[in-house]
Amino acid sequence: MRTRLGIARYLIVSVLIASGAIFVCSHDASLQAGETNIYKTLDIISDVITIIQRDYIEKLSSEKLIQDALRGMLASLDSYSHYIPPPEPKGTPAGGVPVQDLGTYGLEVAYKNKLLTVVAPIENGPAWKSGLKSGDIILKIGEESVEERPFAELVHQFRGSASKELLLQVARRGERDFLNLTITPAKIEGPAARSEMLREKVGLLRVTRFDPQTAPRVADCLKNLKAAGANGLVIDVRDCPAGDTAAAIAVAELLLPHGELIATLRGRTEGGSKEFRSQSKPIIERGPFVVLINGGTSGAAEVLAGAFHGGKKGMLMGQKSFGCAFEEGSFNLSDGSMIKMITAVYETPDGQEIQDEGLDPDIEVPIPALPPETAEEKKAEKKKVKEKKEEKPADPMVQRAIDLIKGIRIISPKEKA
Amino acid sequence: MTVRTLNRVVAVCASLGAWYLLVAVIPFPSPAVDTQLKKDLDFFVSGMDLIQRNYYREVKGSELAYGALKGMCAGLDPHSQFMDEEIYKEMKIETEGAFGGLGIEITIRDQFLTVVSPIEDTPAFKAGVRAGDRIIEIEGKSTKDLSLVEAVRKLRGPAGTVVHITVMRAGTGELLPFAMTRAHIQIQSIKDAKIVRDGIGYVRMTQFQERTGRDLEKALQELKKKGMRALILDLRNNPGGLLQIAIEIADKFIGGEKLLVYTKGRIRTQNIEFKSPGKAAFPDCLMVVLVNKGSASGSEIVAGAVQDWGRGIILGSTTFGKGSVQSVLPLPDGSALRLTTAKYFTPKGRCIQKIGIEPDIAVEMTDEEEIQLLVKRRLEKMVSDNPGGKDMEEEKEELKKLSDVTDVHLERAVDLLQGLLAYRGSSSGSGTDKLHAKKGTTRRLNAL
Repeated sequence: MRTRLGIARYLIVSVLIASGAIFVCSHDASLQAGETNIYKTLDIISDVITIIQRDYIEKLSSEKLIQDALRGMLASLDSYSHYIPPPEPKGTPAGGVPVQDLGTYGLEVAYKNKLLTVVAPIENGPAWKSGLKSGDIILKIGEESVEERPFAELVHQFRGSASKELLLQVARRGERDFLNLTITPAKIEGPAARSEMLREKVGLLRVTRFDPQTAPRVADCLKNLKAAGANGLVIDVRDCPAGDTAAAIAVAELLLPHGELIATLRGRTEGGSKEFRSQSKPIIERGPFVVLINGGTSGAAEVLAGAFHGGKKGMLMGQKSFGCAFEEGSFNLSDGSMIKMITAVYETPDGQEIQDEGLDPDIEVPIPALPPETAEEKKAEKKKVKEKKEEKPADPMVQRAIDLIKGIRIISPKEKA
Repeated sequence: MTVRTLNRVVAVCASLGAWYLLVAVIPFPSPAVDTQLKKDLDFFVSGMDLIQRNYYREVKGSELAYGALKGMCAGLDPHSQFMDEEIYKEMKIETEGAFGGLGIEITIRDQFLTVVSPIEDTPAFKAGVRAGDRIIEIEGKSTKDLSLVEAVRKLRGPAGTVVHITVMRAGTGELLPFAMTRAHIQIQSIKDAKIVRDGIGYVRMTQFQERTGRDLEKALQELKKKGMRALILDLRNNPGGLLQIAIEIADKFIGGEKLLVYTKGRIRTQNIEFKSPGKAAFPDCLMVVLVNKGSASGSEIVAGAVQDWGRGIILGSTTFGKGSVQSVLPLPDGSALRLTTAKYFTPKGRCIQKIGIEPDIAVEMTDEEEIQLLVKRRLEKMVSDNPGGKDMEEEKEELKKLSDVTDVHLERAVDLLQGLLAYRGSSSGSGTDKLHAKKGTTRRLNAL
């Protein structure tokens, strides 16, 4: 009985709506051929709007419904693409800050398993100094719970040149209690990269962020390492979030021979795809190269690491990278609202998409399991670390990388020559 | 078994039933040309076209449309929802309370898919599946990474089809393969119908499904045969269900063409009065309705009607307060809309949205007490479903620990009814006619 009534009722709606579809058909000439499906799709949309406007307990304008529809449509694509409604007469102008700009807090956040997660804080940046770590799960911003709020809205709180202190409640693996951290915003300064000669004549290049200062700084570092006789290089881009992909390309050019493919930007529009090849003479061209990556390696750092993907030019070591390397496009709609979406994604020279997938390391080094600790044990541990501060503990991953470089030198003497 | 795992089972059960259905024929407005809608649709098309042309990978129009519909309904209220085909199917199964399957309740315990209990007279029960059995494989595939929902989906299917599972028996560790033919399984929404003390019957109702009215009638007739003179109707943690069924149930006790509930929407066609069709099946047995903050929508309609007509005593704690009615509107592609179309009001015109029904006799139970009670009930059922089972030691041990846990609401209700039965017994000794002539308390009692 119920079903039959429902169908009868529906048929009438369909009849009513058919005229709408015809209207749209004659009106919108920009639709491409082969898109006949769009009429069917539109039928459902306009049916539902009609039903909501007629039956819903409150009266709603079709304008609001369409805005919510656009919001839902973009949210269904991925967690970065979003809709920005037209500006309120008095409010801030529509726009927003590009995803790559980590602003004055210096951290990248993303949804992982439906939880708002810290991809990584920039080393020595404000978030890093507050004690925030890669993998922390953000529960509250100020007093507000982050649940059920759209990512685009949340992410704005972390971007741009804010001057307010940011209070975060986070959950951390291995910690029984939630942590309350305060991030004091500041301009991110200090060198974007540093270098060091390790044992066995292996050079270490640590890049902490990708911005316009990065490539010149890396060039200096590489010159120093070359002068010191580096024979093999460890490039450490662990916990290096988002950033400027142009800087990553520029850094790759310092390491790869002229003409070598660094990355491909792949979009669907004409002219939306682009190949990036090295256009200058590298400072250090000969490896072996080992690139250290982990779950906090994201965006520009992944583009750089991706240039060495596939094992021909170097090896990736560590843990799977985060999987976020795209270009965002902004589109204005006629009512002043805006669509922001992923228009192109980066691929490694051997054709692997980085977005969502992340880069798999050639040599996986698992994260050491955390032993269950009591509060007292932890205190004792902290004390120990403090006492030992003078002699820096060896980074096991760097040690493994040095071993690998040494091993490669031994088994391939030709390459050495 | 820990309190936490049981808790999760309870949570899953509760979250599935929280919808509401109203069917009303609504005449359509004349197909006037809505120019605003056309303009807005045009705008929508421009946005959709933009995405299809510029997004980095190809997306189907239908995918985008579903995203748009979800977004549109997400902007309404928490009870309105766009249901894709799969969710709509699940909803229909829930409302009908019947599906093709094996007849086992399952949960995930210690990371294993575990049988909570086989339902009597179902394929699983007949094949010898037991409470505590761990389901290791379904159709030859490991269940290791299956979620509870995915497992349920794999086990359900049309009646008559065969499903192969391998279980590991708790205690012995034996691996036992089963091949079972799926049958039509009925989810029972009427539970624990029994006489709890001399002449006092008890019935627990977990949902308002299509068959709930008939099943309640049957259970009550049975109890009547066993000498029931007073009834405790337990609507605690009952999240609601079908509006018609809530009305059918209120009618069983009230009758007499009395108003049971009415709805009011934005448009006049949504304003409907629901009256008792005639003679009630159980018009005069003494009655206590148990409610708590988990009693919502349909439960609140029944409790509200009983309270407003003074037909029974509401005992427990204040109910949830869901005063809106949703309609389900199927769309031609197999999806459907669930839309809040009206608010409902008790016979005396109370809107209970966010307020709930206040019990006549307030008896508070803490969350901890309620959870322990649910755990105890579940354990008792597992032990009684599996008599003499060696593997039930752990459960029996847990039960012992919970021996002090009592159902405070139920005890208060039993005591009250016992008192009222005694009172009615002594007054009715002087004859029914006389009782009617009296005013005040006796009249109130008659109404009970």
